[in-house]
Amino acid sequence: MSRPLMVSSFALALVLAACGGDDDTSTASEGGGGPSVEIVEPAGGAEIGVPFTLVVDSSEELGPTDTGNHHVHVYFDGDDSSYEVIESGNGEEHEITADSPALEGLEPGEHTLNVSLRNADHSAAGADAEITVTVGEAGSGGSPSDDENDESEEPPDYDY
Amino acid sequence: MTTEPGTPRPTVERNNARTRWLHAAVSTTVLVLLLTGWWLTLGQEGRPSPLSELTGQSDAELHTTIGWVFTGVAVLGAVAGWRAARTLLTDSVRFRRADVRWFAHWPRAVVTGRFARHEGHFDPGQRLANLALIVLLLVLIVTGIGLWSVSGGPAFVWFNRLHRWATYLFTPVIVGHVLIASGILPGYRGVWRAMHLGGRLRRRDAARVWPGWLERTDAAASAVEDEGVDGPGEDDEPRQARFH
Repeated sequence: MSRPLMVSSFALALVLAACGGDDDTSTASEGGGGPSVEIVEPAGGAEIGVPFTLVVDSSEELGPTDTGNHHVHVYFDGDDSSYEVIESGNGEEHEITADSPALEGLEPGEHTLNVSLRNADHSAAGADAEITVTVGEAGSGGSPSDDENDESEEPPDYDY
Repeated sequence: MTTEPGTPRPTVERNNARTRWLHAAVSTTVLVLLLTGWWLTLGQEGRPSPLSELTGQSDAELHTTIGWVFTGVAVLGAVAGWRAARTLLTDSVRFRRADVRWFAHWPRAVVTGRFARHEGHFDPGQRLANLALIVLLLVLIVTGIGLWSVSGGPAFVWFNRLHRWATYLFTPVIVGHVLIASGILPGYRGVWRAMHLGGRLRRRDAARVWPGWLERTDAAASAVEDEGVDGPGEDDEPRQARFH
């Protein structure tokens, strides 16, 4: 008697879960009037050290979850199981340090740097961008090789 | 299941299999929701929790999916077990004058096991906890669905605020429930059996914690015995639903 109840509970829940949630259909960002996100820095093909400076620019206002605003997930090689969260400073510099989850287990070499704009509830907002970068050894520091300001950066202003 | 007439079994069934399965489903989903919810609340988003690594889903996705599973379990539990749900509600809102004495004795009884007598299916502390859990779980379900449906914006801010505050209130209540049900406290030793394995607990534990319920259960059992082997049917009916 109890098993049918359990089975039907899970079936109902699966149906409900299938009804909604993430819409990670989009890979494009610009155009069509929808939300957009782009990687301003580093430039595509740049060599980056760890830590490195990241600048993203989005059409949406960024903020922590409790503000109801969007935020950006940063990860490598399309693997969004571990990611850095950018939830402030749209268009400003963010330092991605060695202890960032996005860099966990990342070997030096060529990688794809992904950013994904997310709704406040963490579902995909329909705007993603990616560039190819070459990651140097950890501790090699600095910003992208072709950028002007290496040191004396302002402290990162993302907050947890 | 035959016993000598007049010699009661050393254990008594408190919850039937259906109730225990529902409790197992609710407690498992609630545990996952609490773990993933607190993981995100404590600023660990982006860093997969052990549960996230185990399932391959991000903590946020896992929280949402299990939230739907929990909602499904709660709705089906309330619909399919509506008699038990009604008993849970009606007994939980029924407080008697004598319960004041129970509350006055409670802090010491937790250690000594000498609880003041009460007549309820649940003890007065359980009734308060039941009401708190029901209300808070309802708030969590409604605001959780709200968070999922709006995704962001001003309504999200309010749903998020309510969802968080309900969690802050829910967490200590559920911790207290687990502490009491675990039997660590001497006064509640053995009560965990009421909801686990066979759902049968020792009579002396039942007499200590739910004396009125035990007496009614025994009276009903002997009435069935007196009627003969052909007792009432409806064995699926949760036992607690029949004695109130």
